[in-house]
Amino acid sequence: MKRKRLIVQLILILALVGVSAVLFVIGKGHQLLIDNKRATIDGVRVEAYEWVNVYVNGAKKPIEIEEEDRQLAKIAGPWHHIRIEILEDGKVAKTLEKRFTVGLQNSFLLSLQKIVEGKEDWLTPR
Amino acid sequence: MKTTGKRSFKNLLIAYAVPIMFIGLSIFTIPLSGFSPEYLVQEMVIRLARNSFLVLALLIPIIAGMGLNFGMVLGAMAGQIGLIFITDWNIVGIPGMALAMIISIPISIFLGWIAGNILNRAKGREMVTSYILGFFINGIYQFIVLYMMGKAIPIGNPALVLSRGYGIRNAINLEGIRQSLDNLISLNIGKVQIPVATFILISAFCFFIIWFRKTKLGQDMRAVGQDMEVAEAAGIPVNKTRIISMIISTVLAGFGQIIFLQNIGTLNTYNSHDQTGMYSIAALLIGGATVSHATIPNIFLGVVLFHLMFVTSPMAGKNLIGSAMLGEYFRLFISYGIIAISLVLYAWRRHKEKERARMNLRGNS
Amino acid sequence: MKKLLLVLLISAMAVLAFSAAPFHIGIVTGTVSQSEDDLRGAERLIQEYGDVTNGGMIKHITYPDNFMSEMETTISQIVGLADDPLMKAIIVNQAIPGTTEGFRRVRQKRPDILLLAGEPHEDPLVIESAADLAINSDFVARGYLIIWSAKKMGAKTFVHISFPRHMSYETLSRRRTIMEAACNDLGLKFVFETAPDPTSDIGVAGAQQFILEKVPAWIEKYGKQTAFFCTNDAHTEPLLKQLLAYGGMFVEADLPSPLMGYPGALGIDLSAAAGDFPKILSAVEAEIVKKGGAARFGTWAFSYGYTTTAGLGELAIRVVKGEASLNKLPDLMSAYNKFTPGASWNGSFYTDANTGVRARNHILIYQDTYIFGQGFIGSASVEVPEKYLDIK
Repeated sequence: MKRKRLIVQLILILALVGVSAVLFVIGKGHQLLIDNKRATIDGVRVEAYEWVNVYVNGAKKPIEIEEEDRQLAKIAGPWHHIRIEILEDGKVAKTLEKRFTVGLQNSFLLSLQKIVEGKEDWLTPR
Repeated sequence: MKTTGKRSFKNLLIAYAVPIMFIGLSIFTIPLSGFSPEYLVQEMVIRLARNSFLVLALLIPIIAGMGLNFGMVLGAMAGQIGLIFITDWNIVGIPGMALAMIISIPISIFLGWIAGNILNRAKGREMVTSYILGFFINGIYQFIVLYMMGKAIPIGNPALVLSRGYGIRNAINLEGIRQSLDNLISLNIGKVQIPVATFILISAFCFFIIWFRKTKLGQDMRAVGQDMEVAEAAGIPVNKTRIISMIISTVLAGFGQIIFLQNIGTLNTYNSHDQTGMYSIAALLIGGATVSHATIPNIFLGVVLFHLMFVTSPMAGKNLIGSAMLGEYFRLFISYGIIAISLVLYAWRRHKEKERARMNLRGNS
Repeated sequence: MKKLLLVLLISAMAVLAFSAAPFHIGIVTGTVSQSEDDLRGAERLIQEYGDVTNGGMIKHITYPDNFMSEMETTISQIVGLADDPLMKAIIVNQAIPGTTEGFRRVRQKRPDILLLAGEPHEDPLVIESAADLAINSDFVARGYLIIWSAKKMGAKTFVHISFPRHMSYETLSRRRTIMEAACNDLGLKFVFETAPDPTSDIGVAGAQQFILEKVPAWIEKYGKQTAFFCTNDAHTEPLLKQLLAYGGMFVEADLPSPLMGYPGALGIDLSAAAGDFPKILSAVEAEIVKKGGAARFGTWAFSYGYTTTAGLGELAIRVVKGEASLNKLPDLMSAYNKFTPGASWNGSFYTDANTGVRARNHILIYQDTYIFGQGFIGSASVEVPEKYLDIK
């Protein structure tokens, strides 16, 4: 009887620890720094875009990023979705959507130039 | 026949003297303050959501006959430690709040266990003992947060730690979890915003308490609250039951403080818990509860009346006397004066009840 | 019945009030027991623009004395001001903890209301996230300028009196470091002396006794051409008293005001002149000159707290009327100057030491130092060398 109770208690504690771990991962907040800056990729120079609208996780209002600018988005949890609109002369010239996951680091750097050029390392922890 | 009717009306008046007094006072302060009904309703809804849970934590010790648990500040401190950790780890939103609650549980259980054991050695003087105990644990809390955190307990976030390298800053910005529960399901009626999720949580705990009273443990607690010796003779482990009631109260107070602070949005590291015990108890008393008897409606009535007075009296005082500062003193005078009166009334009422019981006894014999 | 009539009368007055002023300005300060000067500033504004209950513009309320524990009250006091549909600006001086949250709630409901914070207690980055404008006394520039003034007054040595708890404050310890560097550059000898903390077991009385006993010995040791400075308000009064008796100099207090230390040290009663700073200043000056302290003692001619409440109120009124812009230094200075005839102000935007980001809504200010028996020393027009701004 006493033994059974101990086991139940132990399981409960373990479950609580498990829940905590899950909460830690899904609730972890991150900074996403979005760069629209001139970059050299594989020896090719890629210029900054004139104007970019970034929608993070289905936000209705975009984050507006000018040429050579860096903006910050606050995100939480591991799974994210991003929609990028590259504007030229005030019109949307190119739209791009991506899903991505992030680790437990506090801050990530996202390079618009690399994502558009299709490079793998467009998201780096910093 | 007529006399008994008159008497029962008088008894009712005596039983609800404090709420009636407050309602009477509110009738004057509300128009004097000049606030719009919208603002007052919104303020009351916010305060119901923010404070009810803390007041709920007081119920179980009252059932167990331990009086008003001034020691609930212990739970409040445990909740705050949970909040400091999640702010350091940058866990945001509902998961952050839930994690803070989970962190607070073991600390609350430990503190509640200590408090229960001490109160078992001070039977009959629980209220004053728990009040002083709050100060004692506050000292330990300050030692841990001001000297241990940052060095002995690793805290990495420079926005939390004083620049000398250890100790937590005076005020912590809880932006990550600010109003995450309140805004989870939010309903607008007219211009009044109602934090539905918070109220769901509060009502869930109301049902928990109703259910709890009917369990074996709840029945034991009532028996202990009625008469410890009789309960002991009936084979109920009195001391253990009292410790459990303290533990439950402390854990709930920790949750309550987290709900309270997610609404406030800023944690005053060394002071936020100071007044939780006092204000919750005041609200409960004003709702018509006594040291030995409290119900769930007492909580909601008390929170509304107490905070109505809190919101309207400074402005009413200012408009009445004409000086901003005197308005503030008017609020202090009214709020704390009423708390004192309600305690005196309780003593007086108990005296009357005893007298009546004696009269009845005489009449029967 | 009588009470009902009273209620009706007051509501009628309130209705009348609404029709009188085109907009309202809300002001939140401490009470007399916490920060008298701040409150007097609000009274000065009421004197000029009228109280809302009498058809004027200003609605003045106070935050609790016990503000660290009663944050809930502070927040609802601030939010309560936004209930008035004519409210156009809210000024909180001093912006105690809870102000940021109060501001956030006001902003959510009434984005049209201007939110101004004087001397915020919360972290700069926190208050900047919610307020339209925050004002601090300039601990960076003053670190240099107090030394500059001491040199101009003829001091050879500078004694900085403080204790460990104060030196753990970011602002105070940074100012001390700047002072030491300035002393080295300007050729003064910098000395750090320790005095007991008045909040410790020794209490205010014990700390003041320590200063009373120690100052003659310090003057003996460092000579009469020594300027003293203390970081704690409780130390100021006994320090001034002994400096007047034994010689020595004093540039200005940590939070300068002619009411800071001087009335007690000189034993004069200024309660009749409450809020009238030119009168207070001349009363203090007459007494100092009489005791032989001319050109050796200084202060800010107008209290910082008083001017901040009144100046921010004035600025808010001008901004609402469209006569000024909120984040322009000259507009701020001209609002401040209105209440400090003869004394000039200077200031700069706050730069976060960690990231190097210059805040657009946080300004550090300081006033020209007034030397008794001599006049303004002109520190507000001195350029602070760039290097001191980077000292941490």
